[in-house]
Amino acid sequence: MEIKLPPNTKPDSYWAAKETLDNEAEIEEWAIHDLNNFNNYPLEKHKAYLRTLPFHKDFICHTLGPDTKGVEAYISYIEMFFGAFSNLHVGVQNLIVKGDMLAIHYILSGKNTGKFMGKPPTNKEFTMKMMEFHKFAGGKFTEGWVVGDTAAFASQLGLLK
Amino acid sequence: MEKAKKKMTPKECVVLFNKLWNEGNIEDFDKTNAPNMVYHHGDRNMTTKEFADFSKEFAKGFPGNQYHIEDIIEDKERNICAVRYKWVGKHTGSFFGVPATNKEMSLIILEWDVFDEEGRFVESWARYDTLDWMKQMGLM
Repeated sequence: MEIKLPPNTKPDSYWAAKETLDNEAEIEEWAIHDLNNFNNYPLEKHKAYLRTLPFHKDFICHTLGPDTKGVEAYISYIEMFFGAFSNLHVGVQNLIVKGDMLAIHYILSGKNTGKFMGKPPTNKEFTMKMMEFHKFAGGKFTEGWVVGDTAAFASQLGLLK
Repeated sequence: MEKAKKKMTPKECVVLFNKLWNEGNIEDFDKTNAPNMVYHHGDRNMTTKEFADFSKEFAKGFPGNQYHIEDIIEDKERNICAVRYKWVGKHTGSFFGVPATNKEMSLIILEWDVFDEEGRFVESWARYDTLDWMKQMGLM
């Protein structure tokens, strides 16, 4: 069941000015801020916002596609996804922060309105059950894992033969 | 049915269940699971009995398959935890109708668990890249 996230209490500029997330409470507050932004920002605003996140320069993300190495590769991956889909919404089921780790359990939904994996948009909607796991060191993101029911996702878009 | 003798922490419960699975000790799943335990795998919801039957079939296709715990995030106050596993197995037997490929396979599996007051599982969600799994199985 989707939980209702509390509204953001600080502006983007507050988080953009922070180079590190220094404790559990801060990581959790930032994560909620980030999820609210994901659900509410148009692509262009999101692109600018992504560049303010506290990534370690060697951040690695094990995405649903290939692994991304470095901040720009990750941002390109996210931008590709935002370019292919609209009405994206993260329905958070739960999140947990302890020490230098963060996990989020959620359902991603959206509509395929742009070119995706070389194929024209299908204008089909999807929901995908997902989970993410992130690690921090020195207050910055160092590594992330993103998994989800990609077979159901591809099937809903008609991409499975 | 033997019950857990003392309250476990979420982490202890995850570690014990992991040992039971890796050793193929299906009969002892009730040591870690509350009677009303539900497994959520994709769109399937399974009781402990159904999950034990599933794991027997799983072991026929992947004898000796192992879940390696890479990280556990636990919140003892909320009785929840998130686990990151690396699963490895070799497909040497028929698996739900798919003949053995003799391929080594591996997956990242993320799991979300909820526990009762005695520290036993009451709900567990497992997420992994299902297309990656189908590709490894040669199904696409």
